[in-house]
Amino acid sequence: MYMDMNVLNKALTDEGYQDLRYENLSITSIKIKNDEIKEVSVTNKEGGHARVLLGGGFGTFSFNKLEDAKQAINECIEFSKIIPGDKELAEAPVVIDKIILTPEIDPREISLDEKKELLLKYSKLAKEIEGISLVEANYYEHYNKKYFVNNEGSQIEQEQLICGMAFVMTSKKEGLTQQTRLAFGGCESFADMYNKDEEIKMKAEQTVDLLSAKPVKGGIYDVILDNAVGGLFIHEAFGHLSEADNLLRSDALKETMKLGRQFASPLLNVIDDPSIEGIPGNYVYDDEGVKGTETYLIKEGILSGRLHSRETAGHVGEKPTGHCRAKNFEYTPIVRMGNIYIDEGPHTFEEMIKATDRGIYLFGAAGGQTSGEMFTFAVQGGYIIENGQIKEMVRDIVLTGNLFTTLKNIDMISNDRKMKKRGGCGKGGQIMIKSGYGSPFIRIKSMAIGGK
Amino acid sequence: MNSLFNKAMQKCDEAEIYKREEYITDISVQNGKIQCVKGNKVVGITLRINKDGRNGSAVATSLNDETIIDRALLSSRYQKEKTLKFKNLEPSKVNCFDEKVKNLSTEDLKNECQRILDVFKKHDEKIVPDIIINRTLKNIHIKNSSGFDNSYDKTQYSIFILTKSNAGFMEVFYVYNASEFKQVSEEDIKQIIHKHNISQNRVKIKTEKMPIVFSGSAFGSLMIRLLSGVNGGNIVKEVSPLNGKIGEKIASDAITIRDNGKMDFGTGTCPFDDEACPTNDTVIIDKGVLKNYLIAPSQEEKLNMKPTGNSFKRTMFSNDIEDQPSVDSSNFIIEGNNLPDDELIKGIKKGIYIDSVMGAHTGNIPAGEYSLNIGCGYLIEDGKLTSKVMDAMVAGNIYEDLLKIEAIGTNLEPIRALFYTMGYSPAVLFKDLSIVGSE
Repeated sequence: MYMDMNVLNKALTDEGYQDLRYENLSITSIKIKNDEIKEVSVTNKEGGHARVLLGGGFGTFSFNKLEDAKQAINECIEFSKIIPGDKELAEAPVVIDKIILTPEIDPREISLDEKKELLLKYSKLAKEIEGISLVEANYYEHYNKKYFVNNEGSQIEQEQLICGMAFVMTSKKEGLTQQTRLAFGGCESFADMYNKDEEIKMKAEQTVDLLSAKPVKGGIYDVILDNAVGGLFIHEAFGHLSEADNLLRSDALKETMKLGRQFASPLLNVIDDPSIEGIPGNYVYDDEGVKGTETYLIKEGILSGRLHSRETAGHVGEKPTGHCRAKNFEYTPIVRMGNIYIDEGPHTFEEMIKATDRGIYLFGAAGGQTSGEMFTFAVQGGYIIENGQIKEMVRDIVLTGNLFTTLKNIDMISNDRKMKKRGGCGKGGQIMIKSGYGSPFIRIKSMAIGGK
Repeated sequence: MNSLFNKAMQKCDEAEIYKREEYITDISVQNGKIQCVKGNKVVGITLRINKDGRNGSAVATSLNDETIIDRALLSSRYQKEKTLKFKNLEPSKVNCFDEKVKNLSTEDLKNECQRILDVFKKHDEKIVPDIIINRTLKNIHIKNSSGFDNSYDKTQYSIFILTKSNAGFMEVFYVYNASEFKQVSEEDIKQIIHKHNISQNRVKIKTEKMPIVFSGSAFGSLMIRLLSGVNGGNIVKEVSPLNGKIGEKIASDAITIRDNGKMDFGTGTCPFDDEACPTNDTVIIDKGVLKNYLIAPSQEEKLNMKPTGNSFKRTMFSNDIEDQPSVDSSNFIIEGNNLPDDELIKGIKKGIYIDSVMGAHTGNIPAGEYSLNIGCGYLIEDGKLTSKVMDAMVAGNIYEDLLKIEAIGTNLEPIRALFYTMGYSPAVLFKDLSIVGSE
């Protein structure tokens, strides 16, 4: 769809800072339960979001119709006027750009029939494994054409696309159920969706094996995290705290999060990079027209950076990093991670297992949450490690910890990093699927694991 | 709406249009200053159809977007041969609209934030809380080919207050959420300050079993699991441990749990759900005995049970217009052996009062398992809250632990379920639960 950007530009005035974002969203969704198609839908949504900063804070407004853009700006002016103060945004380059996607295999050129058949095939494959009681399979494809203008002269047209398949497998035996998750894709290309039969079967078998595993006994363990769990860990335990909108809340937190502070062992490097292609948190410009930039958050154990919007960067006198994003036009952009990861270390997975006397090797991320210095996350399962050897499987594992002690307890990091194919992150009521994470294998000493 | 409906009926055998209009104003205060004022005025439309024995659906953001009809037809081509049942039942009579909330101006919201800040300052000027006040006006209109053509207006008013620790992290979290206006009272604020001050004394505890009180708000982490268990969809899928257990004892005699979509000015109160079924007051657990599941029209035939008015376009993580209606709570109401809140903890020699948890959405929810980080919990010693418990988890399975409930308090709080409020509960006392500590 072609849109004349002048319609948006004309809605802006010279008063204070103003920007407008308008989006055309198309969401394709296929949902399958076992061998039954539950839903096929193509959703179209469009609307815009306006922001104005006149005094001490933003006035913002979401709307549907393009012709209401001017009215939305007026509403924002009224809102911002009632906020006392003189907030200043960090400077950002004026950008005039157009980002057009060229996926390796464009999902928009693949028929709904082909997508449905492939998803159905995988769902049936998993269901055929004995012990699997339910397979819920989901194909998602979100295409978003965004138009952004501000009254500094920026004018950006940007396509964003993410597609993927996600599976939740449930096994059941005598009243006991276990669930695992598996995902492919998570990027603009459909290429990763093919040839997944073996992965599907292995995950289904693992889901059934969990039925024979014992529930983990609650307590303190040394743990080795796989790539997905390590990624989820750094996302929850540290990533959210590195989002600099936290600093607007509290002067005390500015001291707690002072750059240069030793946060972890020198082994640890943590980076957020939205420019990595082929994974969920990839984008070029954020929702205030700033290029998403590779940002070192922890370098050799020392707090070295944070994720910024123009507002938060202005607040602490640092440079914007292009991490201010919204789920869609219904929301005001806030500081979000792009692709956060732990960088590679010197060890091998085998060395890490061998060096562990008593611990658990954890596999498969299953969601987490954070609140300041505390964090928690669940995993799909684990294996007991005894005297340097992997032993029996255990289930129902949820971990918790305190950021400051846990990061210092990371003592081994492997030399092979992988990024997860399914992103997702909730903050401020905005669930964003374009958020990625990854990690090498990492070992953490003395983690608390919940259990009866 | 009529024009789009008529056009849909020309191409389809049966149809239903659902329209949601929302006007939201939201003001946030951080570090004692107004941070942002947000507005939102958007429309969402869903068309659901039956055509040649198959159903389909599509979404748009304008009634002028007639592609929604062809997209719904396209969707129907892929469905198994199954049609949707569009209902035409009398809506319930409820109170979910407060003129006072409707008439609140942005200036009024700002003044209320300032008043709250002033009350904090009066009692303890060292505590500068963050505040968010949200006012939502909503209109829902459903028209279907069975003859249903009704709409309702609803207001929602929410207040979030949080205090911060010396390091700048969240300390105490307070929520109000209902369809009617409420002024946060000086007593409420004094209670927040009391908890904040207790929190300055921090302790670690050992791994052990002990009496636990869940606040009404934190009890949501367990109610998410019960909701999964009584969800008619999970009964049909046979993934609920409560399958076939109606009439059986699954909780202690001390507790009764209802889902009341007709509660006066409740957060989930409305005359009909998002599939046009009238809301109800459904007893889920009566003095420990399982009485009902929550049923959507799609489960009616398979379970031979009537819809309970619990089908909403909402999930644990979103309330997007494109979410298909599925079973959810309207207002869970927790009742039973009430004791005054002070009495509830008076007899506990050593235990924990859990005010908020993290990780409510993680773990094996369908099985009722939980392992929750105690985000905000206070050590109870000799019947008094004495300090904040750090780095601890509470874990168990609700189908074992609901039987351990000894009593419940009196002061109703909004039950928190991640981003949303799922009803109202007083504090709930468990005889003993497993705590993983870090001492």
